[in-house]
Amino acid sequence: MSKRRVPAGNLFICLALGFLFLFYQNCSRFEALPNSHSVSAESLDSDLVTFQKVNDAIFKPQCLSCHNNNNPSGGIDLSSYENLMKSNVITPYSSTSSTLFISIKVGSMPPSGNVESAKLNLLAEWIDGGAVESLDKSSCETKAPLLPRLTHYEYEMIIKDMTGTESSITELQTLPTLPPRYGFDNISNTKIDRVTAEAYINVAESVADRVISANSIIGLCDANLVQGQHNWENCAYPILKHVGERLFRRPLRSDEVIQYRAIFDRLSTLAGEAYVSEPVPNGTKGFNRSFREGLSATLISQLISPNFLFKMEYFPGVYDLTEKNFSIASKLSLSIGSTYPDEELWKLAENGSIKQESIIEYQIQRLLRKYSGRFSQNFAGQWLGFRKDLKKPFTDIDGAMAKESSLVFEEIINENQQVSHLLSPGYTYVNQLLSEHLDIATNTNNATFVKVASMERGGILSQGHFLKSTSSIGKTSPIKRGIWVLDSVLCRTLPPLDAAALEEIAEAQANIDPNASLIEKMKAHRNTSKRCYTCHSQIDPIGLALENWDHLGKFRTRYVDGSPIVSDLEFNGRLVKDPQSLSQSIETTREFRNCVQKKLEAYFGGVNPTQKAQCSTQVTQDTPVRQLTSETLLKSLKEDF
Amino acid sequence: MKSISRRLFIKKMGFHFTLPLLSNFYPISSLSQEASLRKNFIGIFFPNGSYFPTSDGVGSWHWNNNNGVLYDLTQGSNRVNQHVMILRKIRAGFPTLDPHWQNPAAFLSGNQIRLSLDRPRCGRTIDQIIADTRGTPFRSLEIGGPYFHIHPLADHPNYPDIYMNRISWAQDELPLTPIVDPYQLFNYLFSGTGGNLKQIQYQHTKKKSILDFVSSELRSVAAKTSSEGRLMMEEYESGLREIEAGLGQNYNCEKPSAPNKIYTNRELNYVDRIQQFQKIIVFALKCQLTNVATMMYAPAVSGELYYHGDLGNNTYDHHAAAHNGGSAAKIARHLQVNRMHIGLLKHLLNLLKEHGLMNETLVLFGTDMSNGDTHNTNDIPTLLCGGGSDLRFGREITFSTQQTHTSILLSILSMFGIQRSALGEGTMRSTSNLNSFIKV
Repeated sequence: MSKRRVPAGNLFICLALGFLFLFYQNCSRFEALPNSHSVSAESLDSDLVTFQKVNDAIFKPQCLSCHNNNNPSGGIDLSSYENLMKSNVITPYSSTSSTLFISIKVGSMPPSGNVESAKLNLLAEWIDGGAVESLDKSSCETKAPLLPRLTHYEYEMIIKDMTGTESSITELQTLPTLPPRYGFDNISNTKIDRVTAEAYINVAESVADRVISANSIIGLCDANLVQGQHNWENCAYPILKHVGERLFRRPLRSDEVIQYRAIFDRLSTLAGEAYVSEPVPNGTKGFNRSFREGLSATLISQLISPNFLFKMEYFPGVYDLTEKNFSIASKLSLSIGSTYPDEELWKLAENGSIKQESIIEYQIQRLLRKYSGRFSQNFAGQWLGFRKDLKKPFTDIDGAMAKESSLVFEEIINENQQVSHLLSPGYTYVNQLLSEHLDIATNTNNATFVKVASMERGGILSQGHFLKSTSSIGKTSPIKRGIWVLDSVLCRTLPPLDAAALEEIAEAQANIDPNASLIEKMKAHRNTSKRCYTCHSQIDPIGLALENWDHLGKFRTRYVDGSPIVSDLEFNGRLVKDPQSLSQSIETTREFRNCVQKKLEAYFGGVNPTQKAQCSTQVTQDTPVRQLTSETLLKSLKEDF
Repeated sequence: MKSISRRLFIKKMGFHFTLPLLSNFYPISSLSQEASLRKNFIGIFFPNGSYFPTSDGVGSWHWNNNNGVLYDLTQGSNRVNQHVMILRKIRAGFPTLDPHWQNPAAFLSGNQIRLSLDRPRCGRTIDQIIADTRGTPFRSLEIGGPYFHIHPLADHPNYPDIYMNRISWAQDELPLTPIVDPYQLFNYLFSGTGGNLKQIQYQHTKKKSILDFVSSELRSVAAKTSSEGRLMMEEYESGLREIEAGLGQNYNCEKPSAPNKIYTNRELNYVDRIQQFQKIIVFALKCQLTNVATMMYAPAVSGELYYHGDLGNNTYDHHAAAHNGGSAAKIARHLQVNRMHIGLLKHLLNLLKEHGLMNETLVLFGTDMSNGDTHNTNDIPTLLCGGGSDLRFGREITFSTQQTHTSILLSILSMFGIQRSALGEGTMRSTSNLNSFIKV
């Protein structure tokens, strides 16, 4: 089955004759389509230990006499959840990185006697579940209204798809950058100010010319017309309807058509008067000046319309009931394919069946396959930071590395592989340049990327792009790598680097022996103070474990000076001595799965990924990424039906 | 009673001159006519401070000899040091906040940034306060650096990138987007497709019709949607109205030549790009299209900017070069970048001179830190430039203690006839200007 479209009729037959059997017969590529959503993401209420439980069992009876808010011993105040978290002795999701847990486990606290093992397990369970304050979600951040602008990428894809052209719209580079929100520009609530408006007008003027010149657009007019015969009915209207529906991602309203007609008539008449002396070439089939001016004015109006530049699908109250169907179709299409609804989605919106949950689920899976490259580029590309380098040629090492990252994610989506595969897929993609750079044997001898089996390469933590972009010039940076992994892969938030911290860092650096080995220097810094330890007990094990990858992403066992690469720290309670053991210590954790889910929630719904643990859903199993994506997008669309 | 020297007396009074005495008696007649209230303001920001090998707060930020990054200002027939006032012992920044984010945002406001990814806030900037009093066709011009810096690592949770990329804020939570391409700026100010008067008028009518139509669409959407959505539509409509107000205002202006390329590669033609911007700004001031402009020569950090095209290929981006750690190669690159930026300032000042605008224009030129290696926020390199015998241009003024950067902003406002009793927040709040020190 080269095309995986399943007509709606087939789907109904599938459902009628028994969901599972025929579904697998006709839709074999969608083996992971869930028969009901949310099999992987569960609400918290069932299995999470709360602060109150731990407080009652351990802190109140055994700790509070010293660690209270009057004169907290060692600066550690256990009198409230807030004060405890400010004390920086808990690392949510990781009991083995939490100094409070460690000091109780090794028996240094409490001084009056040991905490019994059942209570210690309870403490570990509480921390490993995210160290939630309570199950009460009332303190969770209210989601800010999502009123996004169209991204520059979406702008380009819509124009390219509509005109059937491939060449880049370079003028888009003159638009001010859309500041990302939570790392994603597709949910950016950024206003259009005067400068941005002017830039959009400039871009619209040249894009209108491009649209008018595209063969697929000219072909919408009667083919037998010659210059001077084009008018509203036979040419302008079909073009403006075609373009308007794609730009606005919904049918044009009748009052809009009337207004466009008025602009067209007025401007073509005025242009006819202004350019009356302009010579008209004879015998051409092109548009004459007055028709072209009227059409161009109307197209520019559409291209700077709020209905195009803002995602009105998300603005409350703008769409009426019938348009709501198109809003769902458009949200699906923009979220995954960065474009307007394709023919199949448009029909489902027209006949209203788009509101059925099972159809939406099916469409999400179809779109994820159809647009896996675009989704990889925009979601994973922004999440993992490789998107900007995809613009570079693949003959450039940064461009090739970005492509490797993009293709691996695309494959994971296409093959419906588990979240854990993001760290250990078992394969990677290389072209000749990258295979030579990384010393991977392949049979490719040109710029084409091929899939190669590899247990070492391909995972997020072993991809060239991550390794190179988190290195300093000419050397690795275990600190940068550690911070990146904590933030991007585990969604952990480190305390901000304030002036006091910067001062402490400078002081610590000054006291470290410059001739010491890297591992010794990091140890000395880590142990300088409690503040240093809080962050570096998390950063250092990651950074050191990745030292086998050099600053260019190549494998090594020794440093340039010949000294061996050694890593002897624990992360998540496991010795992480090399990149593989680090990946293993992360890939099966709930924290990692939750982080992927949080990034998807941010991308699709603008949910703040740095919220407290009790504010997010828990991904309890190692779930296929496509399924998790589908469930998250479906959840963000719930308000629409 | 022990007598004290004149220099010491002045120093005890709060400031001192550090140029040789004779330099203080620059022939005033050669400078300019008396200038009191200024008409035009230009604020220019460059990132990553300068190279400070010494702890005297001067470092390489001087014009005394070849080692000073300002030396070029004093050289050649186009020297402009007589129009430049070096201000020493200026502090900026708030404790606990990283200056790369805080100080660009507060460069023209003295306000504290709010750490919130959802609702970045800095506060209204003085360029906008000045623009309130002008009434020109174009309220103000915001010119951006060659790219929008997105910080690649999450070592600054809740620090929005916007602070590193915007120095002009129309309202507390509304940073103004800069224009990033000279052609776009040219088109914005001096648009016109040529042709005869009827054709120009047609193009004007066409644009106005489009803007009117889209404005009515915006009002229609605003009426239907939520308050947040309404604000977004209103902002867009207000932008369109401003563009419409500027249409046809420039028929009688002398126009600069149009830039002939789109500057899409941040590494190529950097100097040319900024010079094109500056040329267009000066023509806009001359034509009274606007009185206010702000420019970011580059965004804060500039960790992805190498200046390969103008300074030759180099391993170190601007940020990496600023964190020199004693490396001679990094120091050399940082100085090269500093000197290039000073060269650009010299270009602007010469344009102002050439077009007779020096006396009526004030240029504030500054950065986010002093020592780019240590992020020191005392002794911030700061220059006040312009003409007029009422201000101590051509001199170094060193305050006896660190003065807030906001005090300079208060001084600037007063030179535009705007008297404010206070500006800024927290440690950057100032209730006094520095006029008694910088005025003759």
